[in-house]
Amino acid sequence: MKVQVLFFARLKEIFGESSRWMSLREGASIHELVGLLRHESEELGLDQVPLVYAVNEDFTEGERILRDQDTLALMTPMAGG
Amino acid sequence: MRITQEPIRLDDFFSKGADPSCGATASFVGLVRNHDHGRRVLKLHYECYRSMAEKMLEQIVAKAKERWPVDEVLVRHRIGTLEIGEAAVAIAVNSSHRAEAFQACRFVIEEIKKSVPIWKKELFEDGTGEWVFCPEHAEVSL
Repeated sequence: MKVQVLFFARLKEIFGESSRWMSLREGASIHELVGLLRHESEELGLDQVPLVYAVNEDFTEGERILRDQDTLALMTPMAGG
Repeated sequence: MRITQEPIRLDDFFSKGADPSCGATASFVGLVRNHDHGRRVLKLHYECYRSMAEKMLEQIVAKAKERWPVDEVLVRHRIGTLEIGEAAVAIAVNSSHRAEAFQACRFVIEEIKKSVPIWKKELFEDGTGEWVFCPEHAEVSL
């Protein structure tokens, strides 16, 4: 299956792009996807960044199982206002 | 649309009169200040997840209206690069009495900080910048 991953702010700078499509095994969770991103580049320093997730614009937990064509937003804690 | 690239003109924002049944308007304006943790800040750059940010703002306004007997809740949040002293966020709440106007206004700004996908980067005098990190917002209510 394929999911679209969105990056914002600091994460957009870390990954050098604002979105990408990723292929995952059926039944993969957000944690699994984040694991792939961590694996992709050790120097990303993602371990030091607390992540907040939204799937199709709703906040969710890392255990959430992704579905084909989901849009996953990978975010750092909100800092508006 | 509650998110805007354009400067928030406060005279415009507050120009809309309240309903004649309202005896109170409580407002909050968040400004760009020139320092943070002892460091001089030149500008703030705001970025957002626009569609979700609009949706969350709508939900926050709806929640405020559900929780308090308020007439109108106006919210605007700026994105892009802001100069010192510019308004980053403006909120106005109209209601019959002041207590609920103050409470709802406070609620709206606190919720914006917690659960609207907006981020800001502080730009410093030496040309460097740093994304503002709010560890207290690492857990969002689902």
